Amino acid sequence: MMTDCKLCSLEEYLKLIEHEEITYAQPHKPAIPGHVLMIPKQHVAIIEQIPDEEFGKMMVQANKVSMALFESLQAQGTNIIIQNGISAGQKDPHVCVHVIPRREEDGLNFLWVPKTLNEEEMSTIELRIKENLTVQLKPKEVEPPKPEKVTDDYLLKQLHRIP
Amino acid sequence: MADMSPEQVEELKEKLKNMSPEELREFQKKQCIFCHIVAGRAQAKKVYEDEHCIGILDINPANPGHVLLLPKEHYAIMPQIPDKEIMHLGITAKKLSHALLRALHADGTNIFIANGVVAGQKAQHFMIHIIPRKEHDEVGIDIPEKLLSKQQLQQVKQHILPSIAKSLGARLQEQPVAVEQVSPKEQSAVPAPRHEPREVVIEDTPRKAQPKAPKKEHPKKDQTKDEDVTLDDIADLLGGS
Repeated sequence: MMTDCKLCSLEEYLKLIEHEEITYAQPHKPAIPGHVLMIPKQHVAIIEQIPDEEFGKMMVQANKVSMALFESLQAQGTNIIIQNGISAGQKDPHVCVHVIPRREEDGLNFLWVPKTLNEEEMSTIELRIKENLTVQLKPKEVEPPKPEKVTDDYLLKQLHRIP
Repeated sequence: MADMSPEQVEELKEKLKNMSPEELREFQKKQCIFCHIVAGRAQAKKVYEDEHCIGILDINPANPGHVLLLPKEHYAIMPQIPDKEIMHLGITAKKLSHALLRALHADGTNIFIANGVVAGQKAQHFMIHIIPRKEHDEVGIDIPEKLLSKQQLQQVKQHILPSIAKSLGARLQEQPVAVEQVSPKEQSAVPAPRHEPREVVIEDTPRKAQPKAPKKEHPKKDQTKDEDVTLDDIADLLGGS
């Protein structure tokens, strides 16, 4: 618990329910009524700090929330969005999964304008990602990579600027 | 599908109607480009593969390094996927996100899921988008903010909390009802999300010209009376192009 973190000290009226490791809440300013936040009770800044199993479970629960929104709001669709890092739109230094109900002409639009890359650029990127996936991830095809030492410091550096 | 005569369309519709769920799934698979990629019959830049899923580079990326993580099995939307498989997809998405941070020196990542055409889903094969982000890259996955009153939030809570608790298998410790009983008419005013223009306007260019379920004109329904819309209907809508 971090006292200066807005998501650690969420106001009661925003909370929906606490279940296992997660607090379910409404944002103070939702994108649309029915917008639900899933906030790990423990203060973690980025998803890389969450153990794999726990993160997998969060996605399972995000799906359950999404299903509940389909049911209770007769939503025609849902978005599940994670903003991991400030340049990805993260507002608070605390991991949060957004589950947003959607209907036609609801005024929301999360779609991006595609960028154009040539074949060579695509191949370079393909290679770089493959090289960086660890041995565990691709036991068969990838040569044992020399993993760059990535410390939490490196990943957290970017978050220091979050107010 | 665009080249079919009206008779052929009718014939196909009739055929689809008479299919068993298994046949229908097989039919969808045959139509699905991502199933062809999974089977190796269509080209893609594959960055990851295991028993259950593959990760490929999006050919129309939001940013260089945009990865699509797909279950090998054909599912249209997330609610159809067994928990165990979602768990695996989630863990893999996290690993891919980490790999993008390192490989491309990204400052952050978005993990993005769209369930349904209205949510921006373009293909009929469920996928998780993992998008590397850099400062000022103008990808535009901004979540707009709209101020609701405490009372409005309370009404929404009343409306959604029982379903959420049930869906999670959680027990409600307290009765969610704190405000006085709201009449159905007032209630319908809350979940019907009609908005004034947003502060953040994102360019509305379609991402891909992929075939997708035609935008059906939904008669504007009173949502409180619209109880019979189920997940199956949503799935049908998605699968019905």
